Amino acid sequence: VKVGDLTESQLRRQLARPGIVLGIGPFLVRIATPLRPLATLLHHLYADYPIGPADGVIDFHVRVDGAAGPRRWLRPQARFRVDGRMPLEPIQGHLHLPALEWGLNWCIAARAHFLLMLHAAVVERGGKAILLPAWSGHGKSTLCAALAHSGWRLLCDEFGLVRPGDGALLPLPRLIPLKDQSIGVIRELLPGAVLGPEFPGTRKGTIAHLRPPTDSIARAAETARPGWLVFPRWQAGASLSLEPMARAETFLNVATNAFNYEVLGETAFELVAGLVETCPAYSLTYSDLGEALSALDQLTTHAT
Amino acid sequence: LRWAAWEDGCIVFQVRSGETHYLNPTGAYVLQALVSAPADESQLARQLGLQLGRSAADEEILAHIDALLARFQELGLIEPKPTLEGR
Repeated sequence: VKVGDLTESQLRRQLARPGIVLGIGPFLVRIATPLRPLATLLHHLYADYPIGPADGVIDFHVRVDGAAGPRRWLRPQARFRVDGRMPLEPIQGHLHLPALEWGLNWCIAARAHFLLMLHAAVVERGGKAILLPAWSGHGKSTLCAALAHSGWRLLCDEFGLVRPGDGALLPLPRLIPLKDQSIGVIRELLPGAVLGPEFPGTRKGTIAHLRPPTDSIARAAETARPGWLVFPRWQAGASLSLEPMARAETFLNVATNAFNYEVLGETAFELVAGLVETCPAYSLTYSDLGEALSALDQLTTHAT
Repeated sequence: LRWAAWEDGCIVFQVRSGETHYLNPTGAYVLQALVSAPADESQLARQLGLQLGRSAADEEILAHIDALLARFQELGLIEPKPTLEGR
């Protein structure tokens, strides 16, 4: 059963109490909220997520609610809680969906240390994946959104999850947060893509969330092998460049980009060394999204 | 120590401290030499000189070895050989 199989009012009731358990990649998450506008958005944007077994082992019990008392009207807030605690400062009340998405990111980054977590987008085709490690503002999400609608399967936009033991990449298909001008770029490039409303005034600018393709959620249990490491960087007016990177330099870039390299220690060293050994690495600079897609297509088609 | 070596350098993971270090090809060569057998500055300078096709008495090579050994020691990657009088 998927979220979209429920009516909006069924979902709203369940979200209000006791919350709904969803399978999001390798995690079972119980989401609860009394906020109606958030329930409406989740009905639309989370439609493809499977509803998990309520008696399964739940990784995160999360809740998004507003402030209590008069503050509810005077200065509304969106508060994110996990297991009853509030680890992050509340944000403006209209930012309930960003609060949920950022809060879930926080939960995963803070706790999923059974995996190596890279700050990377990951897409797969023919069983082999491109890892796109990048820092904020480098155009990772925009490129990932475009790839996920151009024949590549979305594994994740935010976390490159590498499994110790076999080095497989685990899918974690989530909403893709697009920022500022990327929203228009993706609307124009992918008229069929489903985007949520724009949230202005976040600390990252205006954000709109792109719903992951249905197929990426349906295949969330299918792992992929790492095939390429590509460090993207969007730069206004830049001509396309896709340059091979030296291996030790690549290692340093991957390790410093990971959320939990230090936590995993030797395991992380082995995993990153394995990635660098098996995946050719490139630095991609681009300003034109279409050119970047073609270059990656050519690179990966040629290689396979 | 765990090693991952490539043409542009080497990454060393120090199991005891949990720290990761990048070594350029010369640093990697010297540390690998020390891991295979203890050596003093002049022996290392001779080996490195041979490797680079330069004289072991080359001041630049000796200074480079000195600096590398000091840095390796600072990072806990090597230890001076104990003497009868202690370290």
